[in-house]
Amino acid sequence: MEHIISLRDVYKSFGSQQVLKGLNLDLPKDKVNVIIGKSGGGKSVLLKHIIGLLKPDKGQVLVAGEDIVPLSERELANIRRKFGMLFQEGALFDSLTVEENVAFPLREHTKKSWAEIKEIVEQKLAQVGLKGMGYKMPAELSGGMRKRVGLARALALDPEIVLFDEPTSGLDPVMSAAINHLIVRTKEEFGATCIVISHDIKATMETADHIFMLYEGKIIASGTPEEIQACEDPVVRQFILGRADGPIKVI
Amino acid sequence: MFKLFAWLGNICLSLLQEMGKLLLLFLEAIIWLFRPPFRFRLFVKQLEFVGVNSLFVVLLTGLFTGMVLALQTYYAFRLFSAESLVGATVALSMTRELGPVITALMVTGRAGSAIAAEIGTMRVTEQIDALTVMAISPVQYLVVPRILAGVIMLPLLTILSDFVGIVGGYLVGVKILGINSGLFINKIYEHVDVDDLYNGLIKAAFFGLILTLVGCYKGFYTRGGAEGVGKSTTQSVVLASVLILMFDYVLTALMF
Amino acid sequence: MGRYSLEVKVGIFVFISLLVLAYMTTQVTRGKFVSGDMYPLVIYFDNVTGLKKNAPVEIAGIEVGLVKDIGLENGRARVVLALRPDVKVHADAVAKIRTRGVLGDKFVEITSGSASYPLLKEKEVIARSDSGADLGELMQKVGSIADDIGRITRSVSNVLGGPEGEQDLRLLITNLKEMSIELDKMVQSNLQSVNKIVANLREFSEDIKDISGGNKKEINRIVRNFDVAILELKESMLKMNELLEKANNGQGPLAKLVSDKEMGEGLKQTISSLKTVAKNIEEGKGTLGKLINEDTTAKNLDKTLEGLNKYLSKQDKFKTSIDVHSEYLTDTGDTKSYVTLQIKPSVDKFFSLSIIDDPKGETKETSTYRRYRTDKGAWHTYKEEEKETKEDGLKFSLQIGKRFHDFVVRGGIIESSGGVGLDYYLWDDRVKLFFEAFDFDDEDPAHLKAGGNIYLLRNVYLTAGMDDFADSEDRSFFVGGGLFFTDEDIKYILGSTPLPKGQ
Ligand SMILES: Nc1ncnc2c1ncn2[C@@H]1O[C@H](COP(=O)(O)OP(=O)(O)OP(=O)(O)O)[C@@H](O)[C@H]1O
Ligand SMILES: [Mg+2]
Repeated sequence: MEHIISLRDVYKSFGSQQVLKGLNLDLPKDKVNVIIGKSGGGKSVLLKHIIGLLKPDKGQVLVAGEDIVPLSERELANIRRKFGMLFQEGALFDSLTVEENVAFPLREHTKKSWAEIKEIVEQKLAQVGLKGMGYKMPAELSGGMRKRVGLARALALDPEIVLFDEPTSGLDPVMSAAINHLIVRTKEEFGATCIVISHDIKATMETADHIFMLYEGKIIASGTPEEIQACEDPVVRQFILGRADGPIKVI
Repeated sequence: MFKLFAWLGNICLSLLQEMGKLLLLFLEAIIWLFRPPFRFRLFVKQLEFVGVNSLFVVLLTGLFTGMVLALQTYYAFRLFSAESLVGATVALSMTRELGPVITALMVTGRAGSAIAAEIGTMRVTEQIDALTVMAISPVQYLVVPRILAGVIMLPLLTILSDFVGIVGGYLVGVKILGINSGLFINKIYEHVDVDDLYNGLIKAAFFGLILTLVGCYKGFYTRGGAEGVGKSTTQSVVLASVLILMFDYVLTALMF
Repeated sequence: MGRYSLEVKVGIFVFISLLVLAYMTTQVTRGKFVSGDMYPLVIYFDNVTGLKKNAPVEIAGIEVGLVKDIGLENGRARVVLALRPDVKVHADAVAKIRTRGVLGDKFVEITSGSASYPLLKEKEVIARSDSGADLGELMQKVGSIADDIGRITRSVSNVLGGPEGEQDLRLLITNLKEMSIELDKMVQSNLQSVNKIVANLREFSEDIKDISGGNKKEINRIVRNFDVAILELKESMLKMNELLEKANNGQGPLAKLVSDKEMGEGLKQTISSLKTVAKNIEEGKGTLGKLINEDTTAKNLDKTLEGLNKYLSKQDKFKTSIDVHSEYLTDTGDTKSYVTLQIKPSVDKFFSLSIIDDPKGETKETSTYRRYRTDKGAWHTYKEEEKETKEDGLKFSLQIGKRFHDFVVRGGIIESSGGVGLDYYLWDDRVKLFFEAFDFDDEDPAHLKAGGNIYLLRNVYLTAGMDDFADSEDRSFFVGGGLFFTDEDIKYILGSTPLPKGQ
């Protein structure tokens, strides 16, 4: 299996808090890869390493075989053109309308005319169920709507690799299902590699090709949904069954 | 005792570090200024924000500065019957010193703080990360247009402030205090030079650079949510004001 | 307005600010002098307490310049004045430091001196300053007079050396002899004035003796007497002139004396020869031998020179210049080059013709509508656009312009389409800001260009700005450099300065 992204022995601390502790990860190309793990466990931090927003204290981050850790911002910019990313909080530009937000990457990186861009924007907004909302400002949207606009923006350029930081949290079940469906379609139609962070175990089992479990700064389990469900590890078992008692301590 | 030294040393170090970061941001902005594309609309938007929208406060403060200057100098000069010099004093002080400095301080309060707050918010809500992820340099997108607008707009605002200040001085001096208007104006011609005007404008351009750069810098390195944004905003106003006054001294020493 | 309202707002703001700037600069420069075309003179003072740089310099209460520099030299204050070029100062001018107003502003007052003394040229010294006409200064003056005499003798010997010179000399001596006879006669009849002169001279020489005796207190009196002596000398000379005039015209009491026609002719000739000699020596010209020798040649040559001068001065006013520059467009990486010929019939007007090598070339757009049928039978219309770009299009500009103070307004044809431009000069023309607008057709926004030139040297400059900034597609920064030559530079470079020979 071809791995488009690999992390080798990655360490990252914020002050005295160790978040990633020698993490190893291989993400296969053209699949839906879902990363699960406890809240505050370092999933978002992991995602930011993949796209070079954070640099590891130690270790390598390989994108298509190239180590991006020593690269300059300008070289990174070239690599980032392959990526689209949905931030956990949406990260919409609050001085621009919804439409302008989605159009932003298209305007910056393509030579398309305004009419063409508008057409694409309409289509992307329709896919996330926000048809006709283009004129609104981000501050006038609900949390879930903001997330979906962020999703539309991440997909605007039809990127090779898309990072989704919790695309369905805060959405109603119907909308969640639609978004999961959109992710699968993105993979199938555009041949994109999707890297998804999710807390929705049930949906993950349905949509994921591969699941990775992050715990205590390491990947402790990985495999197809079936393999994960068959996993004997008590931590994984507690997590996917969602039980309060077990090795993962909350209090 | 050692603790005191350590404390002082730390303060010096962090001050140096801050200056270094500020300078690096400036250099980066200069590099990005010359790389395509040039975002004309963002630039014009900042021209409007920094310049046009500051017009009213700048005119108001300029007018009152000129007026109060005329009033104060009048009482001093009357002691040795040199009232006719009030006009020249107002004009010289406005063009050389007060025009640029007051304008810069007003714009710092109005636009510099807003820049810090805006960019700071963008930082804590990950909008700057979003820019980076879209392979767009946040320095080019956010910092360059603001600095450019500051450098261009401050001299223009200063010119207007100078003018209004002198008019204010004229109103108080001639219309209220009864100085002979011919003398008032002639003394201005006699004592004020184009160089006074131009040097004041050069100062203003520097101040424009300082206040926008500090605003961008403080915004850029904002940490810690809404509270962090508030902190950066205050700090940017304080730092920019201090730097403006310090540079005012340095530039004055160099130019006049 | 619509989409442009933001730009318009900013534009209006910038425009008004620049207008106020222009108004203030013109107001502030009113009645002041541009330092560029002033000429310097030097004065030494014993004491310049309170005199500051840029203090005014006045003649008869009228401001004619300013104090440019004050420095110490051999224990005395060396003051450099910058004077307006139309203000002439003679060698006998006196400079004083005076005080004005309650605040005690110091300024320099000079008298322009009397016409009988030569004019002071650039960087020369005004020898008489009020702070004391002491011996040293007198010596200084005597020294410079000796220098002058030396210079004159040298040029005289140049003129008179050689075989032709000898002939001239003989002629001159005859002339002189003749003249002295005439003079003698004149003096006889005018004994009174001459006596007075002699008396004055005697008094003067006595005073000089006193000085050499070391009687410092007498100095001022001496100088006063010197002045008086000169005044009287001048009077005498005036009278003498009068006499000569009358003699020339053959009237008055002298008429009898010169009634002899031959004698009168001789006198006239002598005097005119002398005058010419004096004039030419003063101008330091080397062709004097001939000038003195042959009257007709001299006259002809004189005329020729005069004509040439007139022609040259006309040429002078009619200035031409050539400007070659290239701009590198940062967005496309192309280079755009300009060659401009500018003709200035007067200082504030010009015509200019430029040829521009534009890498963008000229673009022509044609669109045709075509229709086709889809499988289901519906007709579709689509627009086929064709863009034709002529490579390396040469464009030309033809403009007329006028300068108002620091502003230049110009217009005409810019880059092969109608346009207008506005230039603003700063810092004695060392910086030029420009803005131009052209190509006002309906297709896209007008071509707007703005930028600045910095003249590093007189002939070399850097340029930078933004081209076509109203058009989001073609907009680009540009940087570049250029060369600028006036006809004088070209003359100088070619080394064929067309000046009369024998200089
Ligand atoms: N910029 C930062 N500075 C300091 N600490 C950070 C920073 N970013 C993350 N952390 C810390 O790293 C840890 C992991 O954070 P992260 O955002 O990756 O969690 P997560 O797995 O995404 O959680 P959730 O599922 O709630 O989003 C947290 O404890 C957080 O406090
Ligand atoms: Mg997270």
